[in-house]
Amino acid sequence: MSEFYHAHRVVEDLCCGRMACMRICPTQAIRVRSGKAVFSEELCVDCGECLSVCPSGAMEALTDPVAELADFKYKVIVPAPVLYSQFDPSIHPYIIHQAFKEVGFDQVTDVSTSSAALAHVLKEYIQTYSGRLPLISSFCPSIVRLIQVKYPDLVELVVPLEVPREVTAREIKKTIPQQLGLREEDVGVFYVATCPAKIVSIKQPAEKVRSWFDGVLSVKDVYSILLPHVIALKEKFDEEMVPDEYVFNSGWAATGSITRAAGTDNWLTVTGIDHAKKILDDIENSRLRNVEFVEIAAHMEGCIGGPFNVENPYVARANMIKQSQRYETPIEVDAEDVARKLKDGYYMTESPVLPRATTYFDTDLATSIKRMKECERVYKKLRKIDCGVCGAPTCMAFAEDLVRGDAEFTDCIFLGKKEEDKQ
Amino acid sequence: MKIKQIKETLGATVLEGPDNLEIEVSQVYASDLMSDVLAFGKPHSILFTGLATRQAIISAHMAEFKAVVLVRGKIPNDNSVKMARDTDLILMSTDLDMFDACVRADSIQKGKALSSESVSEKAFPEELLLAQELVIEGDDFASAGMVSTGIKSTLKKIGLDNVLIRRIAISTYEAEMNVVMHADKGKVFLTVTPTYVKVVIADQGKGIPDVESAMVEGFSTATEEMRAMGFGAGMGLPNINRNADEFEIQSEVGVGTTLNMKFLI
Repeated sequence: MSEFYHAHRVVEDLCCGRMACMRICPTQAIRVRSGKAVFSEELCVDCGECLSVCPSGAMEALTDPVAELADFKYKVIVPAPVLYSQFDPSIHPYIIHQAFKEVGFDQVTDVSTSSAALAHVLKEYIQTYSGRLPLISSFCPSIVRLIQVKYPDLVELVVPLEVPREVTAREIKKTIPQQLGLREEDVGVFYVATCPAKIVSIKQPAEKVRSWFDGVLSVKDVYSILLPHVIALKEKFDEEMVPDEYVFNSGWAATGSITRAAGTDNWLTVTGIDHAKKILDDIENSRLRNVEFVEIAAHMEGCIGGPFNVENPYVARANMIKQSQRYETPIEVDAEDVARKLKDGYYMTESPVLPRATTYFDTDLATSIKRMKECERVYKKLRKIDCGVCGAPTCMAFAEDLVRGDAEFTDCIFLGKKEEDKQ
Repeated sequence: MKIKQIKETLGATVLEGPDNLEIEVSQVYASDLMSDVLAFGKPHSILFTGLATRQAIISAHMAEFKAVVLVRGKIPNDNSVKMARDTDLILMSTDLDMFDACVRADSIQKGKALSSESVSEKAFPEELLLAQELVIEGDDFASAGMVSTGIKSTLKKIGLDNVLIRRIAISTYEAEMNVVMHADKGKVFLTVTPTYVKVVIADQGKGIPDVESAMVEGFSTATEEMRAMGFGAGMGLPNINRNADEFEIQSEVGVGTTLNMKFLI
C-alpha cells in the first residue's frame, strides 16, 4: 500500500482523456498525461466527484468484494442511514433489515443509537470548549481530508469526536464476540458506504491507526443484491411482523442534524465541496466571525448526494423525510452512561487530525521563492483561457507543473504563437 | 549596450532578426539552465547559452529577453528559428565558447559607466528573496481583505510554517481593514529574506492623533456602519502587536499612518 490509500482507480482501457474529472477535481489533483487521467495521491481528498462525472465510466471504486464476507463466522452489517432513503417510503425499514438477513448477514445494526449518544457528547463538548472558533464537524471524512491537505492551519478546529459508524462498530466488536462465545476475529463488521471517502476513512483513518470495521461495501453494490429480496419480502409484509424492540431512526442522515445536535445558535450548515472551500477560505482568513459550529459535507445535500447512491438525491431526500414521518421513533439516551463513557474518553478520537504536509514547490525557502517567481513569469505569458489541452485544469496549474518539471513548454498549444493568431 | 555592438564584438552571425540591430539590452545573462533564466533573468536582457533548442527560445521569450546568442557555433533547427521569429527574438550564433563570449561582452560593459538602473539593482541586499508591492483601496468594503488573502496564498506557496503564516495573515488583515476604514488608499510592501518576513503598510489617511490610546484594546473611532459589518471593535492594533515579533507605528495627523511589522522565520 502506498503512503496514501485511495478507494478508486483509473481504468486505463476505458479512459479516453475527456478531462471531465480533471476539471471538476476540487484540489486540482488530476492531470491528463498521454491521453489518460492520473491523480496525485497526495492531493486527492476522496470526494468522488470524478467518479460521478466521468462520461466513460473509467473511474472505478475499489469496494471490498462481497465474496470476502464468507471468511467470518458471524457477519454484522452497519448500513449508512442514507441506504433506507434509496428505497420507496412505502417499504418499511424493517424489510431492509430482513433482506440483509436473507442475503447472509447474521445481524443488522443501525448507527442511530450512536449518533444519539454523540449528539449529547457534541453539545457538551461545545459548551465546555474555550479555544479558537468556529469548530468544524468531523463527520464528513472528505472534508477532514480537504482540511488536512489544503487548510492545514484549520486542523485544530476539527472536533476530536468519533463518528457514529466507528462508535457502532467498536460497540459490536467489544460485545458480540463475548455474548456469542466467539473469538473477536470471527466476527466481521461491515459498513455500507455512500462515497469513496468513507471507504478510505475505514481503510486508512485520519485520526487513528485502524478502523473497527473489517470491510466496506458501497450502497450501489448492496442495493442491487438487496432489491429482489426487498420486493419479495414486501409482498408478504405486515406491520404486525415488526418486533417491539425494532427502532428506526434516520440519525444524522439529513443535512443539518449535526448542527441541531450541537445546540448552539451560532451555526452554519454547508454542503457541496465548492461551497465548503469558500467557507473554509473565509474561516482561514478570519472572515467568519460570530460562528461557533460549522457542519460541512462534501456532497450537495450531504451524504444523500454521495456518488455511490443509486437514487437521485432530491428523491432520496423526500423518501427520507417521509420515512421519518411514518416509521421514526426517537432514541432514548442513557445520559448517565454517556457521561461516564465521555469521562473515560470513549467518544474521543484516538489521535488528533494532523495536517497532511504537501510541499508546494520545494522545502527550501529560497528555492521555493525562485520557483514561484518563475511560475508567475510563465503564467503572464499564457493565454489564461484554461483550455485544458496541455493536461492541466488551469493555465496556473500548468505554470506550476512547468516549474516543478512535471510538464513541458511544448504541451501548451498556444505558447510561442503570435498575439495576432488569437482570432 | 546595443545588440549591434555585441554582434560585432563576438563576431556573431544573425540567424533571425531585423537588419537594424540598434536595439539596447540591459545586461547579459549567461546560462544553460532555463529555470534560472526564468527566475533571475531581467527583462530586456540578452541570453548567452549553449542550449540550441526551442526550449531556450521560449524561456528567453518568457523572461522578456530581447535576444539569444548561441555559443560554440551551435546551429538551431528550423523549428527554433521559427519560434524566434514568432516571438520577436533576435537569434545569433557565435563560434566563441561561453567563457570567452562573456569576457568579450564584459569589455563592452566596462567601456561605459554603470547606468543608474544597474546601481539601484546592486543596492538591494543580496539576501532579499522576495519583494512585492500591493495596493489597498480605501472605503472599498466589498473587496476588503483581498490583499491579505493574496499575501497569505503567496506565503503558503513558498512553504512557510502554518502558524507563522496565520500570524502574518491576521496582522495584515487587521492593518488592511484599518486602511479600508480610515484612509483613501494604502500600499503594502511585502519582503521575505531567509530570516524574516516584513510587511509595511503605508496609507495616506487622516492619521492617528494619539497612537498610545489606539494601542489599547477596545479603543475605536469606527462608525456605527463599520461596526455593523463586524469591524472596528478596537482590537486591530493590539492584535497586530500580539502577533508580530516587531511592530512599529508612525502616524501624522492629516498625512497618514505607516505600520511596520516584522515576523521572524
